[in-house]
Amino acid sequence: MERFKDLTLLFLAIVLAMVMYLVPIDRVLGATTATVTVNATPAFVTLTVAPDTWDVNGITGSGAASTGTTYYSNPLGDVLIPSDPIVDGECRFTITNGSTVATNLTVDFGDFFGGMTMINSDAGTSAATEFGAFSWNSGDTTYAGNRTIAMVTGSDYMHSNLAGSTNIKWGLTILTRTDAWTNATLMQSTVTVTSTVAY
Amino acid sequence: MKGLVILLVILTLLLAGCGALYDRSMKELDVEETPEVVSGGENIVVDIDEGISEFIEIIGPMDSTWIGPGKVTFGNFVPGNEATYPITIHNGSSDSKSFLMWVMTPSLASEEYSNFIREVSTWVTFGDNGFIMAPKETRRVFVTLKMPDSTFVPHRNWEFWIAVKEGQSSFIQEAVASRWVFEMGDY
Repeated sequence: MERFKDLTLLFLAIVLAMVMYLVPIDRVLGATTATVTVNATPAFVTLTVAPDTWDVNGITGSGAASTGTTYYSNPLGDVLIPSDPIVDGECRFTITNGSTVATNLTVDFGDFFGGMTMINSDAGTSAATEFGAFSWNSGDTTYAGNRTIAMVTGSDYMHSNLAGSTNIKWGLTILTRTDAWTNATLMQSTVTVTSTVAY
Repeated sequence: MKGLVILLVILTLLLAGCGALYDRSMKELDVEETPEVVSGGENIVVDIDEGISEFIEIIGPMDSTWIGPGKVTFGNFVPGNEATYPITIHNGSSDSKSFLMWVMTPSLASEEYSNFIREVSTWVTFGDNGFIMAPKETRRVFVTLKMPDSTFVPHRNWEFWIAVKEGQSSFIQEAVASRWVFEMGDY
């Protein structure tokens, strides 16, 4: 009889263990994690930018940049501030949205390398060893009111909702550092234009 | 004999309980290694806990360089979760090109989902990066985000971008980015 009780206990333990294994514990105690859902859109994103070069003060100027000066990528003049509103003729670059959906565009302006130190203030202002930068586009009502600070990363949109299969003309501004150059070594930077879906 | 049975009962219960817990944690947000492709259509919803791993097929022009999907939204996400989704990249060039992927800070002032968590760049891993693609090649690169258990997310909604660009030496560089949007669940 005692042996029968022991075997019964063992049997019950095995059954209990199987039940615990098969039934997730959160169905008894309440879920500790919820279901994560993923929602993806089938849209593709593509863009082209042309041209891909800009020599600061090299459009109508000598190609040598001075300190403490504001330069524009304005085909009408390197130091000519764009008009209000900005028109196509004042814009050097063209972005084409080759996507089938509307996209937002950001313009990030990296620190300069080579030569002397010139880092992006991320504030649109220049100072010793720091430069400021802006992006702007054709159709902006006013240059001063609509330009966007071009930061190293995380810049606000230069343009929102550019319709699919359309293009927009745009430009750049740079405020060179305020302290004097100490050598004439070529300095370089990169500007990254990024397209993301607008919805 | 009775003592042995009781010991067996305790051990069995412990093993069974731990097994169930271990098993559940491993299944959580597990994505099949060989994804099933779903053609076209509108947005699809994937319930990862159900073991479904459907990734939409992105179709774009042959002669342009593009990526997709343009946006991926993760709902009910909580710290400790891990999510994997592929970015499809197409090299529209007639030449082989190198491609670089990185975690990009979104525009900070424009979007409902713009709250950015600086640490996210350390949570993201790429299945491949800095790779070379043949002319007209289309490739899927799986991107995984593993949010640490101890993370405190101050915003209900936040996003970051997975950006892709060709290796370029020009002053102006073109990048395209997929928005990864997170809607946090209760935790």
